[in-house]
Amino acid sequence: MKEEKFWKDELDTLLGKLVDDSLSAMDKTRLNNILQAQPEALEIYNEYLDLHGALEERLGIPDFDSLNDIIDPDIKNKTKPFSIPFGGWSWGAAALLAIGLFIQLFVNHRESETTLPIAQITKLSGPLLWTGNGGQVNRNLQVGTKLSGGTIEGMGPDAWFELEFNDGSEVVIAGNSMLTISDLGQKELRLREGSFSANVMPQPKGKPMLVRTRSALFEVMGTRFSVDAELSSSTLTVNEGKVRATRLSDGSTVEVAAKQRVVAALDCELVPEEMPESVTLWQSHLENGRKRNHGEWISPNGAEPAQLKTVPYTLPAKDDQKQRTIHTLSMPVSQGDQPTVILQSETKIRVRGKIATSHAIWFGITVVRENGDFAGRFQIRKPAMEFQSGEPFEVVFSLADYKLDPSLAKWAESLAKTPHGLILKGVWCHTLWDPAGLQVSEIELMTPTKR
Amino acid sequence: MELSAEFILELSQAQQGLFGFLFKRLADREQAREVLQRTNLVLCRKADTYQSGTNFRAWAMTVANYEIMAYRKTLARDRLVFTEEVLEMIETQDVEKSPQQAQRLVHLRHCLQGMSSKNRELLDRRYQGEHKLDKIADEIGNTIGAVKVKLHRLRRQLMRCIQNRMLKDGI
Repeated sequence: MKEEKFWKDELDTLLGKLVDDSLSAMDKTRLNNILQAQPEALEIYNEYLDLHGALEERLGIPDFDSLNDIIDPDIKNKTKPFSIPFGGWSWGAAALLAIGLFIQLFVNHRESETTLPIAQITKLSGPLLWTGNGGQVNRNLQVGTKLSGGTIEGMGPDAWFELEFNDGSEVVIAGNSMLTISDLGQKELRLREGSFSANVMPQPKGKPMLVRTRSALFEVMGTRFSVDAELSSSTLTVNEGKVRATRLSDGSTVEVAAKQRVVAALDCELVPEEMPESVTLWQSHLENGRKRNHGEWISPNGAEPAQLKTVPYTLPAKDDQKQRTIHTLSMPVSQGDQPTVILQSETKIRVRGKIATSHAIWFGITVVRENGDFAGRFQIRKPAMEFQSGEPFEVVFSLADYKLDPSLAKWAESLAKTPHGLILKGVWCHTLWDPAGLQVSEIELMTPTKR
Repeated sequence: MELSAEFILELSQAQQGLFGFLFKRLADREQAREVLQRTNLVLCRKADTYQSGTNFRAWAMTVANYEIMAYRKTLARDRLVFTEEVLEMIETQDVEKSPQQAQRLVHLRHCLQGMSSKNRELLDRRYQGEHKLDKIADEIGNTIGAVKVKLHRLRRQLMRCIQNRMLKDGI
């Protein structure tokens, strides 16, 4: 134990000296010996040096000295002396080179602007499609993928995507949504459909983050908020800070404060209102039309109520080598101008529908936290034997029946353990691989007590 | 050597990362700079083999690894900090841990935001300026030794913060 403390203390000192360029010859030998003898020391060394490197990369002024040879054609084939001066005149030369480089890149090659990474993916799961500004389509997104401007599209109710801009601002989409991002000195998001939430770091003065939808423009200086966009209206909900909202049709503008929301639509006044009381009951009401549901809407026919039928989504090869198809439908719950629906431990969820061919069905819910953060997707699988071909069915689930979607297991620590107490963002059902003809006529949230 | 704008952009963006990569393996700033220059030359010579849209950084680091090996052969053993064995161990662990690197960078941003403005200012002085510790010590009215200790503590604090956030993520 004593010996462990001794080498750790010694390593600690050596690491400090290393990054401050004050290692003696003896120190160097000792550093090598500690790393060789202690596997844990190697890990500490790597982490410390990675951090130091990341700080230099993130906070430091780029050093272009090492590019001298490449840019100056007179010296490009000469062998460099072993050691080069650093600092003083070389900083000036580096600055000139940097300026030259940037003139070349940004004046003569303005198209390169779009290739600079402006954000990176921090979390994701489910079917997603990224289309870069150049039109390149990428389905093989991964955590850490750096993005320049482009459009992210959630292709199914189980899509979830979080990105972080270079300044630390975060944007999340979950479910069927389509969001375009860009940052050419000022961040701009265009929500084409669906919804997203964001936690925005303070933006440079005079350059607020701009969020555009078909019907509104929101200007954000630094806050936490979410936006839902429909064809003719957009709803902005502000959790922290303040956002300026402009209705595009008439240019009217309002400021929306924390815990307020505003609906920008032609048929209602642009007035911020306090968030409505949350509720614990909810019903799908498919008879009111397709609305923002994801699926094929079938109108009521005689005794047959309105239905929502699954639509196919074929998985990309990276997720499923056989590229099989999920047949899915979903309904938004706490979205748009609807009140927030909270799940309570006693909440029960009833689903009514029918299926053409007996098949196992997955029933799921997507939940978010009060501040808009994604909290997880929970699901239940019911075997085929419970659903007869061509027959209607009714199933009722308790919240305790729902389990975290296994595809989110790697994020489980940061997601909710159970859905209760959280906001119900959406409900969904699907069958895997076969077009079983699943149709849902009603989903209802039944809770004994009001909040 | 006709270099495309995209290639120069990739190369210039990769400079700090490449330097960090080399410094970790050579543990000597001057040696790392020397190998970085050699690596840059090789990258430019091979520019036409680089496929646009592929991972430039990964390609550059592979080249840098070869340059380290070649460079080490030119140096007297007493000028090398690490033995072949330790260098290999660093490399192996780096490859194993690379999937976590991107996540660490994300957490670093958050951890930097959570720092007091005084501590953040000290880090900025160290990493944004000319890195001259005596100048920083002068400016903040402290000894060089005290500045070194403080900076070292801040790095350890950031390491702990990143580790905690990684644990919360279950990584």
